[in-house]
Amino acid sequence: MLDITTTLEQNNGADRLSIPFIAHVECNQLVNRGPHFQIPVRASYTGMKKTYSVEVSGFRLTTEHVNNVPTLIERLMEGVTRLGRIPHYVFIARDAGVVYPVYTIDDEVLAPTPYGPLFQHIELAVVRKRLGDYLHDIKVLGAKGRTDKFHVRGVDRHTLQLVRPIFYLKKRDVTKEDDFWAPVFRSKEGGHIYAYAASDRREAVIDSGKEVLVLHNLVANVLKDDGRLTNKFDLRPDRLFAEMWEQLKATLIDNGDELTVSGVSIPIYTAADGVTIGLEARLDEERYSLFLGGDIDGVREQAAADFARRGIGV
Amino acid sequence: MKMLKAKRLIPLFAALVLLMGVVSTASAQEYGTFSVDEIAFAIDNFVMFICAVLVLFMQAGFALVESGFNSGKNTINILFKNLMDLSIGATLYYLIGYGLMYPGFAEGSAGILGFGQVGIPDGTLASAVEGGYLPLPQVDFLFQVAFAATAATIVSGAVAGRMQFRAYMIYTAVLTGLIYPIAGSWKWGGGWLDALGFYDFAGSLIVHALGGFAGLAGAIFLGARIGRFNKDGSANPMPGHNITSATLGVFILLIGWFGFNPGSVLAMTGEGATIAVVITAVNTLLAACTGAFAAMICSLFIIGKPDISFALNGMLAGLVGITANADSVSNSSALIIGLVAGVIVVGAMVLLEKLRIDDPVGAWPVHGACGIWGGIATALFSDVATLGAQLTGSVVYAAWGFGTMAIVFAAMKAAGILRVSEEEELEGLDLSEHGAINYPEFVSGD
Repeated sequence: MLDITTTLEQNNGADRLSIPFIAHVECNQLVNRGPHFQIPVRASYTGMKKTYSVEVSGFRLTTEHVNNVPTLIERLMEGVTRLGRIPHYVFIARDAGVVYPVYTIDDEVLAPTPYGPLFQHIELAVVRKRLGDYLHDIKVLGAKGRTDKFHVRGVDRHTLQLVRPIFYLKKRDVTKEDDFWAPVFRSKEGGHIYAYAASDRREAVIDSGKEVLVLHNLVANVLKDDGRLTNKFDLRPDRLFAEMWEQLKATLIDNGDELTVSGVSIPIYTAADGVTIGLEARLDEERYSLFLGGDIDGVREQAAADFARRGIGV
Repeated sequence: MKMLKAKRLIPLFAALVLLMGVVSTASAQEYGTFSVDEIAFAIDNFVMFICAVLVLFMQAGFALVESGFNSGKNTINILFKNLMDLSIGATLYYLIGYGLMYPGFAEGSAGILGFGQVGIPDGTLASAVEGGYLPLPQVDFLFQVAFAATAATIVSGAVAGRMQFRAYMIYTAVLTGLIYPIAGSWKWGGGWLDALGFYDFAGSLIVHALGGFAGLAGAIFLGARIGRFNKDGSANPMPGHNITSATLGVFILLIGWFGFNPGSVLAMTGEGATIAVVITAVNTLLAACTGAFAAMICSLFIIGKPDISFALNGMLAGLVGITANADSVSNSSALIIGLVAGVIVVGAMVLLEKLRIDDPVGAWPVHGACGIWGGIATALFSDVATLGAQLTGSVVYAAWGFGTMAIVFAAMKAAGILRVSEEEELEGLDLSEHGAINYPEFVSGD
């Protein structure tokens, strides 16, 4: 049993209609988070009926009486805490309506399943793939390739709300044991972006878009130190939000060059440190992926290898 | 409070002292109607009876180990299987097995379905003693039936979480009624392996390897539990739901093994028997301890941390390894036998993973692989048997256990009664097979 103290405070902010209360939660028994949390208590209306809901790491409970909120929070906290830890991430399958908490212990990422296998690996991507395969096999996610995909979300360390990755750092493909795939999040305070790599949280100060390449460089170096990366350009920033890309783009030099690889046009940019960057616009998702290289040929190689893996232009 | 308890114990001590006085007096002269032989007879049978009870108590150990190492959704099913393999096993062993295993043990026995097989022989106690009925067949039956149940229950761990309950009942009946007694008769019933010079003191091969290889057949024919292996061939841990239970189970098995091995001397009185019993007991403990230690060290190398499930299986491995030779090896040899068993069990667990065979509790690594090691170690560390005889026995018991039960499991698979459906497996066998939940407070509605 966790020792949790919850007090409710009226929210006087601009969002007070949708979030009438902030629950201040104290819990000293968590090894990876806390001890203070501020969990928003949301209100919703169905006709004349008002209900309050609280969410912890993607799991939500509702009540008609605000006095019950502390009990709901305790139940949720108890429910998601494993080995004294709050999840670092959750995997979500929207259509199936399932949420799987993901924990990190030392170097390893762990996704337990109720009464089933424990998926455990150093890489989040491998855990995601194996858990996804398992859930497809037992038909929780339906037939593979046709239904749900797992989406990863971070868990904010202060509010315990889900946060969407602003982009990913990837070294593909995930069938290889030494591949890497880490979602990148913006910190709640807004001053940093961060990802977990090589057993630690890696941060870069937000600096008009330059932070994407700073964090990439930081993570690439720790992976190289770990012996899990030889060429830092094998790690690529993937699926940047449009806003993120626009900010980064403003810091790059546009030479007007463009590559065509497997029928896909790739505009070329140069970063201040001389790194050559190729842009793959994934317009269907409104996301932007980058190929990095020491020169334009390096970018071409990276793009060709990735397109071949994805079956583009084959 | 402690003083009060001590005072209550005084009459008990007084009674014990009086009893010891009676026995010592009887050793010098006939006391009342009891002769020295009669007292020795009683002591031997009493010790055998206690050892039989200890071995029967191992059923509790197996139940706890197997349920603890498995998911909480299958707890009732596993406990139930352990209950029924004893119930069915003991009945069939009484009706059929004992007669098959010890043909002609009692004068005038009727072979299969010879109920008189386990009756107290006709005649006076003196004739029983003179006739060499030590221990009494009734006591011996209790002891031997516990061995038969052990052979059956070993399989339970290997097939946990996905075998139909009725399939389990069928294989238990076949194993305890036919497969095990026939195998036992080849050595302990004075059969062809005995004539070959094969030695298996308390059943490393006859009981454990037989059960372990039968379990391996079950695991292969059943296939892995859902989610045990990934598409890339790697394995996922399927964490046990209660390591406390598993640990208590191993301690119970350790205690039970002091019935299994020392009891196999089949006597307590007389210098030779007394010495054999205590040597056997010490060897049993030493091998158990080095087995656990070796497996713990192996876990350090493999996963970087001392793992209790490795160590628990290591202790059982050491016990299985020493069972064939506990009476005939030195204490220092017992240390080595246990040590090697602790390494073998880990190697065998890794091998099963590589082969994508799902044995939830490590029944084959513990009982199969280390049972073979026990048989071979007998030739390596003692002079009671040749290596050739031991290798022959190892191959025979492994092949007999695997081959016969493979036929049984294959037949049940063909009949569609071997494995539960995917839905039932995911739901848990407690609910699907028994309509019950062991931990209802843990079940949530969302």
